[in-house]
Amino acid sequence: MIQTTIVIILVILSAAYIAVRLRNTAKGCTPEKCSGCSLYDDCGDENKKSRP
Amino acid sequence: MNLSELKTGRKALINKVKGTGSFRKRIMEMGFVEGKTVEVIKNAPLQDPVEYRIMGYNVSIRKAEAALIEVSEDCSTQNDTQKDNGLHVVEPGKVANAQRQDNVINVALVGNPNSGKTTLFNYISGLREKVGNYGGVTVSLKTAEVKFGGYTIKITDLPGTYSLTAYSDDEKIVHDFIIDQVPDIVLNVVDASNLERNLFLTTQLIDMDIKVVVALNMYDELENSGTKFDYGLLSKMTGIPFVPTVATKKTGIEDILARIVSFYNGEEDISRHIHINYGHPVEDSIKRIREVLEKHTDVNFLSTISPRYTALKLLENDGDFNNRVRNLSPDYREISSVVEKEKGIINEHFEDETENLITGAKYGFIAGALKETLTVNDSSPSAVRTRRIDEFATHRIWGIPIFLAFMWLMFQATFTIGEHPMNFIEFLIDGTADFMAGFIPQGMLNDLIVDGIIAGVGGVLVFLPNILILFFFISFFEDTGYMARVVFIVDRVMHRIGLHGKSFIPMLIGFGCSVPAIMATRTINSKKNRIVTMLVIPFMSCGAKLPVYILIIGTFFPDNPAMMLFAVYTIGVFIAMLSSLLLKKTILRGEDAPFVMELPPYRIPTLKSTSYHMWDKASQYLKKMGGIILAASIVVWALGYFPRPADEDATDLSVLENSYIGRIGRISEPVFEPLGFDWKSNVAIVTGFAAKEIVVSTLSILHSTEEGDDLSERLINSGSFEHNGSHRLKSFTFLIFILLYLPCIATVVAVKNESGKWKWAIFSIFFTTSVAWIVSFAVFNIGKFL
Repeated sequence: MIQTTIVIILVILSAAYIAVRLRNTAKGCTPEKCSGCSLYDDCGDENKKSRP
Repeated sequence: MNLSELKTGRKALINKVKGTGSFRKRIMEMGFVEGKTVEVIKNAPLQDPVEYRIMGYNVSIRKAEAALIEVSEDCSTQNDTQKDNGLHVVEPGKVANAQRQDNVINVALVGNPNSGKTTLFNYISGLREKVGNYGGVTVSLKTAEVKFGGYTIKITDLPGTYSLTAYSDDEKIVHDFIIDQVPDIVLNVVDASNLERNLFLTTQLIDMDIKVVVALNMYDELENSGTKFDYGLLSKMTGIPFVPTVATKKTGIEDILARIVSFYNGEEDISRHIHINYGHPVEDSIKRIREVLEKHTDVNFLSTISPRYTALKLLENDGDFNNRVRNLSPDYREISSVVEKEKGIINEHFEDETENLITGAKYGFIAGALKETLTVNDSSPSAVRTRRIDEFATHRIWGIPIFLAFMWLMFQATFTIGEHPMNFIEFLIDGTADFMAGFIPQGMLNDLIVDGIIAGVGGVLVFLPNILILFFFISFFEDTGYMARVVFIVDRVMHRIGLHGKSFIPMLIGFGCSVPAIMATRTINSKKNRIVTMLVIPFMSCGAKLPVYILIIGTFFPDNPAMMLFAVYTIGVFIAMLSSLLLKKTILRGEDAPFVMELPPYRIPTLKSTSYHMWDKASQYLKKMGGIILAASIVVWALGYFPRPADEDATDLSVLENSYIGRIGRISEPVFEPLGFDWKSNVAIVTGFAAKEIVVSTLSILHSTEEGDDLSERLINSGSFEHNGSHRLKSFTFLIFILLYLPCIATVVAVKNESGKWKWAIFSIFFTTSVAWIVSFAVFNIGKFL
């Protein structure tokens, strides 16, 4: 029972994590903020400043 | 005669630059002005473009563009005949910026491409922004703060630019930043080994009437060459502090910061503003335009932008300045009529366009200033080294074989050297899996950790050494300057199939990651060419695709893995070229723009710089492991684990086939069946949209129940890629599909951001996936008959 609960929590958290990361990416996260291209950090506002 | 007719090894004097618009202006800004000597170094292996030497640096120009430069070979002297115009009249002037006396100093870092701005920025700020020995690496703003002498120096690294005319988006960033943000100090980074051309930008900053400190970067190269430079005298002449620096060795950084602070505080004795005198009648025209500007323009506008500079830009027909003045002046018509009248007077007087006269006068000013301060030694060790290496690297016969040999070496090393650390990581992962399997009681959590997390994340983690080795080579080629030679070698092919010259650098960056590559298209000034480049960049093999390649090639093509990897990379480039041709002939018709590219001297990369590149790549990879790949592994495992079967004796395979992910795989079967893929491969392809490495983790999870010691054995035993007793056809088709199909979501968003429209982002998804499907279908179905 404990194992099942932990698994369910982990799966829900992972799905939520993916959803948030994808949403942040859609906001326009680019390497200026992330200094790389993992690109799943929320940096939409920072990017607006540097885009022409 | 024109420059394209000049034979290799010959020198000539430039008489006139023909052509129109931005090409003419750009090439003049790069030093192709009347009276300068130009030398033909060599043709590229495919005869076009041609390498020329002017003002002590090498540049690659296509023959079609060289034909627009009129030259005269009859030069009795090999020295430049452009005269010092003797016109650097010194005037006391106001200083537009740096009036605010507080503890924050805003500094803008500007300079020519490849002058070492970002290297300097990294050492000042402690950041690790990407650098390379070619122009166009930086295309966006990067800001950092550093404390010095009781001040906070807020320093902004700007893209490299040859001038302050806003042709392309990256140049517009620089131009707009200086005009709109009004930095307190502009730190102009100048390549000390190539002063004449680099100082052109400095003359524009002088015209702008802003506070400038010049960093004479790579000063060690100038000293080692035996060239003598009295920068103190030049400082006095121009009223600008010149500070020698060697950014790669951290030399002169403190001096630069100290001079910025003292200049900001008005403590520099040499500080004064000078005007470059453009002579009669240009000066008279400037005066008359200034008067009309001051009468009819918003006072606030002219308090931030020098009226003299504005007058010059209007005379130069600068579109951006015309728009600014139009928007801020109710009496724009009156200003415009005065400007047109003055242009007419100047044209009549010189029978040439004003912008060319102004460019020529600036180079005259530079020639005069350097005549008094610089004694050049042409046979510097660096120049000799570059010439010797290029005798082989860009040789007309050996250039291409050497390039191919380097590529083969890179891919071979990726496999052979990478194999040992890869086996070691695999051993650790297996050990961890065994330990966890015994440590956690049997059940759902045990299954998640062993078959989901360890199989998924571990399956991707093992490829870290291969990625590091590949990026070591890419970083080495970039830092030495060889990448620019690759562009020189293959330019003709690219040009023939319609790919824009400036597309090269973004495409090369695409071997690392498509997102910065798409941002690097900002250097392309034609909107249509820029969109074509954005749409074909996903066909380049980014680092995220490498784990899939290594897994599939290592498993199914163990006899000759380097050649296979090379083939996959080459197919990507080939498809990018064909797609570019297709797009340019159909929906994105546009003229090919001229391409002028500097060939930097060869430099020996520092261990620190190479280590930074590799660490940067490793940290990105590990960050992905602990983030999106971990989360995706858990979700993929869950989708393959549930719903649980009622029958406890059900086999692992039947459980998986009846799971949610099994159903998703089956739904997508009609799409992928003609390509020969089974449902597990279909699911891996779908999950790869989030990040391409997830293809490997998904395959690892979905095949975790198969027999075998490692993923390769399990893939072989599963029969997923088997066709008529061989695994090669299906696995190769799968590789081609992974190479070409839809870009990851980050790339799609980058296309939207840079093109400004979702239309192109969505188009890129359908375009790349359609191309992937068609090519894979052809490969699989033709392959069946071979």
